Amino acid sequence: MQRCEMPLTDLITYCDYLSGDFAAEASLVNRVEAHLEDGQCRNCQERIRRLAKIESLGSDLFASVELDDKLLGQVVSELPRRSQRLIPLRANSDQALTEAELHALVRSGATDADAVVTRVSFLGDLKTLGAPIHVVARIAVRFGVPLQSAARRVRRALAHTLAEATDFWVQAIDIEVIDVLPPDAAKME
Amino acid sequence: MGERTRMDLSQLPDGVLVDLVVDGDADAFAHLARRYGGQMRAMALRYTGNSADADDVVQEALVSAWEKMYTLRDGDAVRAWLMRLAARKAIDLVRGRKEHVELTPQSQGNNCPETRALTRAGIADLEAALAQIPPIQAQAWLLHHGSEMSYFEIAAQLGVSVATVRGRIARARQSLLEQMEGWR
Repeated sequence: MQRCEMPLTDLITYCDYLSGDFAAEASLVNRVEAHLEDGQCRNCQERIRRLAKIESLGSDLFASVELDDKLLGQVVSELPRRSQRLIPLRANSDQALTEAELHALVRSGATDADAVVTRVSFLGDLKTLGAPIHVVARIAVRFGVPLQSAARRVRRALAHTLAEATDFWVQAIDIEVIDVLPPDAAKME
Repeated sequence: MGERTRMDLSQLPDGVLVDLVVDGDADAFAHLARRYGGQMRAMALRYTGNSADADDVVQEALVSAWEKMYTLRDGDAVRAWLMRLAARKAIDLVRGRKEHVELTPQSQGNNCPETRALTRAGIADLEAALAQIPPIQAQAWLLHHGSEMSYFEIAAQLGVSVATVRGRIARARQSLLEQMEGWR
């Protein structure tokens, strides 16, 4: 392949500019682009292509090792506990859950095969039973499932879960669809 | 809590798992840790040079991830975020261990099971090429292209200027391109 006069450092600066890593002087960018666009310098095109391929190998260097189950188990078992604030559930008993447990209860109760509740927010004074509560749930819905019906189903399940487990005065439940999940492979077969 | 079993967490995309983690779901966190913990450990092993330290790095990085996941704006970028967390922890550990010594990527040698798993020809060529260039250049290149840290993050972590980082990475790229001339 015939060599050209374009310095490799200029090509590297140009690649930095393309990837957004670093600003480059307009004169350099214009010079390199003019050099590449005339279609004459296959050498530089090949060098840029190879630079990109070598760089993509960088992340592959770390891609082939699995995490030991024992280490993973240890990490998970020692995670610091989240929000331990106790939330009273019933007016006529001392029954209570931590805030983290309450979130888990709601996520679990309202998640089904086609929609997963990813995050729950309680707006209002949870510590005071009888105070109005506004619930916002973020959900991800399976591809192909109508969003409105999934949202209605989750809203019903969420209201049911809270009604069964608590004496909260739930004024409103808003559902926010944040993502679409891959189709269910079992249903496609 | 039986309803949850209807949804296989391992099938969920990163962004959804991140949202669950922010809400306090430890099972979702375990799935993310399983998905990317191996890559974090491989990277930590390269910097620390031994399994025990690499395990410590991964453990510390994952605990930080659990505590700070709410700061992640784009859940789909969680892999890069986790790799950066682990890289920072690894650098801190090596810096604490070897005061005034330049950090160097560690060659793992052929006896390491993790290395034996890296069989693809391109990766082997890259390993060989990285071993031929100055360690500080290889380190900067790996932090940028392996751990997806920005020039600014690398500069802050290593305590050098952005221009220095950029220079090291540019020289590394030049050397790698020259050494992998025959690679396609």
